[in-house]
Amino acid sequence: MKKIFIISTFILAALVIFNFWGRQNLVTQRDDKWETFNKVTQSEVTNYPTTKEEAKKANIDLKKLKSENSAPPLRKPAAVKKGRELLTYPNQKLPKKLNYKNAPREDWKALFGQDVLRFLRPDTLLHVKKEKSATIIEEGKGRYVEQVLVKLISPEGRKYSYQAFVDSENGKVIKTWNQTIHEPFGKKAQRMRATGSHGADGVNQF
Amino acid sequence: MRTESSKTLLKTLTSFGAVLILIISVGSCVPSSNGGGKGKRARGATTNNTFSVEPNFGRYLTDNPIILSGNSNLEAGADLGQFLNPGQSFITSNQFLIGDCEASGSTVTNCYEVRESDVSNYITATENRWAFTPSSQDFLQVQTFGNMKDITNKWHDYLEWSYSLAQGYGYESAIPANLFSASNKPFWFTSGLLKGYSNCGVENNAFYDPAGKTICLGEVLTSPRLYIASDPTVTWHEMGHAFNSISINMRHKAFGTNIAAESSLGFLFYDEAGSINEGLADFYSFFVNGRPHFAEWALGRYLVQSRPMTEADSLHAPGVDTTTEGRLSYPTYINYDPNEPENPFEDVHYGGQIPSHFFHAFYTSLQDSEVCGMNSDLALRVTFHLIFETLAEVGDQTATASGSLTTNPNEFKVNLDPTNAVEWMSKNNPINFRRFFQTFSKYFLRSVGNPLFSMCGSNEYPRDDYEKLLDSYGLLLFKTYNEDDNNKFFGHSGTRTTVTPTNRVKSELIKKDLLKLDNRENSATAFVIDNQSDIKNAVESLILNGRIASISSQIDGNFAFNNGNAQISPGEVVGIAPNLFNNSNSTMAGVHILANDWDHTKNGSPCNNLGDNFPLDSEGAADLTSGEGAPGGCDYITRYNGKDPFSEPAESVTPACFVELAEDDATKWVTQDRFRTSLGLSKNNCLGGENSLKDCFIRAVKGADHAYYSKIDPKSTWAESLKGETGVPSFNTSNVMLFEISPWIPPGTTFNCRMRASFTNCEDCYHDENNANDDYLDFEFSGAKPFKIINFKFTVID
Repeated sequence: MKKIFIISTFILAALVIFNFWGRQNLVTQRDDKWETFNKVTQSEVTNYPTTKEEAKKANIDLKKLKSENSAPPLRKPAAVKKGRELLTYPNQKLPKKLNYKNAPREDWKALFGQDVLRFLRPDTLLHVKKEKSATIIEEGKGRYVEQVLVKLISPEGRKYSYQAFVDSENGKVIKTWNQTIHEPFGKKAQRMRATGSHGADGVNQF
Repeated sequence: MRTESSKTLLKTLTSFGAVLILIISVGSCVPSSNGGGKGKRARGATTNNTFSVEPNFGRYLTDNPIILSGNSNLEAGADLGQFLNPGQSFITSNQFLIGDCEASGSTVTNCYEVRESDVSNYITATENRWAFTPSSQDFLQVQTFGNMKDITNKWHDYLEWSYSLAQGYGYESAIPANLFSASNKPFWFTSGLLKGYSNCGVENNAFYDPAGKTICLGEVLTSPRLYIASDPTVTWHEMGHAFNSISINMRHKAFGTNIAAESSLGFLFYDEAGSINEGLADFYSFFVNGRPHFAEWALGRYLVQSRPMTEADSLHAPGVDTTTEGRLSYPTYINYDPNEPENPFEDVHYGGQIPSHFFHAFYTSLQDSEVCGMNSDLALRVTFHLIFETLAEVGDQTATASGSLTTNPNEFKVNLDPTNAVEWMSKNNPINFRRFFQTFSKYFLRSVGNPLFSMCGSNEYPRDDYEKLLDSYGLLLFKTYNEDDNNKFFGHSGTRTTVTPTNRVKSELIKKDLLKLDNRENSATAFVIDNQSDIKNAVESLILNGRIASISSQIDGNFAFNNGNAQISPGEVVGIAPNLFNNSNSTMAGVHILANDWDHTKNGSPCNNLGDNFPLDSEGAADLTSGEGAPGGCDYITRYNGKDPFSEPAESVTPACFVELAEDDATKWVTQDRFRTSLGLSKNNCLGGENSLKDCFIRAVKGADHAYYSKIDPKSTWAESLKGETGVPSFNTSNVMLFEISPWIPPGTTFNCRMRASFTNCEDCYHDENNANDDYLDFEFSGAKPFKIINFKFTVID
């Protein structure tokens, strides 16, 4: 009976440890790797680790796991809270007690993938890799963010890339930078035709 | 038995021999990747075979095949071997095409590399030699590597020279003092490696990807294919974008500022920062080959899109020449394509020709014995020195502009402060032709124009000559050189040099009040785009290009509420293009409209002392009888763009759009949050959720909250100015602002969006006449003074 109790306790403990530590670790491991989101239909997005074939098409090197763009801070070591880098501007003041606007979620990347692809056509591919988790300060409050490297391939095969801060709770894009500079060989530009005008005489539909 | 064995052996040998012969004969039909024998081919082609070069050496084209052949009709399938120099060039002693770079004794190991694409294996030298058949992909990789190596070495040499010049003379330089000693090596990418792909699989395209630190060279869709990597000028152009990126980020990197979002030169499909980026990238082709024409092969041969950099180029339209009158001046030539001068095209590549022509003209003037008398090498170094200084300052996220790198707010002299720097350089006080060339000119005065340094023999470059040259390009758009910069405390305290007014002949400055919404009879005040397909396409383009932040989850994923009725309806995303009218007799250019948050309220009520008479006191205007002259007041502009609750708890910035609320017996303009409260709408139903109540109902999509018009002709609107725009106007994504319209807005609700507009050749958008025409201080761009306020009123109708 005692043996059964010891074995049961051990198994239970192992399960608890796996649940809290192992799962977290698995999530983190997958978090830092390239993940593909494929908009299969207007309402269905699938996600999975980026395959070799997709990596080839998107000019992604799957072997490189470390961030290629994160800079080691020179002046002072970045403060770390809950495994996150605190990104503050040199002139930014911090309150004594930092309140947060959001709470990180494990599925932020899935939410991000859904959010980005929501307005894109089926057959658009999104590849995303987390570069780091950070905390930024907005108007005196903390906000948990994920810094990501994004690659997008349109259904026609045109490639785009940029970096972004993504809200760690809802997966929304907060800020983007380092967008690809294309040299369009050909004088074509996206045009939108006015549907109407507003004026002193009211609204005119064209 | 022996006979049988002999027969079998003979049979085996015969079969083996036959296979061997077959292999040899078939092999001779397959093009070898490393060429054939030594010597010269017929037609004088250099046979680029393995043993025609020494170990670690190879050959590649030093300019594009059109130039090397002298044949402007050269066919895409031409044997490039004809144009190889018989001499050989050192490639690398590394196993792969990976190069190191070095500047001022600081080395970056694995600085750049070349592969066919990211997933291709590295090629290796054959017998330690890098000579390959010119038609092979291996050759293209060596070609790209050689071109990247040459320009990188030269660029670091020039940067080192530039640094030494600034340090040697000891003037206030933007080039950081620790450029070469900082451990993160701000003279290159933090990640180290710049990757070049010689055939990355894109059609009719090449690109620079700053996120992946990649240069991708595709192919032109001809038959046979023309590989863009075979035109070195395009590789140099893309490398130019990479160098611009390094230059514009060098100060905060040198400081080790813990920022993530890097500075950029260009923020929209079309803006003047992007035009400067392209102009500089073209000029990087000149930097290497000293030839003021770009991409005759990849862009020119089949696509007829090559670009000149001097007015002396025969490609130009009649009337363009190197006289003062004939220069490619701003804004006349902002949309000018020399290949199709009759079809103006609003595009950064064509807009970039004005800066590229100016850089070339300035470089040429430095060699003029009556002006400066430098040799060509020194002239190019000085030109690039000023480019480095300018980029380092305008993109500086430490906000210190020049000199010491510090966190002391007294030294925040550009881009407001580190927190707001990106917002300032992209929107509030953006990098445009005025700001770029004013900064360029400031460093001109500090160096080659400085009488103390006598850089032109025993003299300085005469300021009058410089101002006249700048003016011949229409770029003398500033009244002072603004040496005292824009710090909130000291921005008007220092000495500054005034531009000689008589030198401003072609550069016209126009009062901002002459820009207004079109109020002619039967005219439109704004164009609206609300049809589903156009909005879908525009949003897709902006998301793919990473230009916008997330769109509210309140908006349907298929834009189902976009009904195309030209009304602004609940649940839509609408494009709004204010129909701005130029009421002056001169061309306005670089017209920039902002719908981002700004300082125009007090205690939640709109200030009506900002010059637009909105709203009336009876319509809910803020009370101006008390609390003025201090933070929170309508006459006080936030010093921190409302983002420092510790230093300025009473200050904030507010979204552009107000809403009309019928309260008691009066109608008032109120904030969106107040309207929400009156409706009893849950915070969660706001467009940005419960954390974003200020823009609960109408929200400019971040990134699409500003719009740009290249130019507006006199007494015209933008749509009328662009030839070919007859009838219903059409817009590119940088011409319209996108607004999300909450599905919770009761139909019949009226909004007023109070936007701000300025333009590059504006008399009073930058010059503060109360301070001797010194530039406005950076914080003032949070408010109304530098802008013309544009009120767009509309009623939401289902």
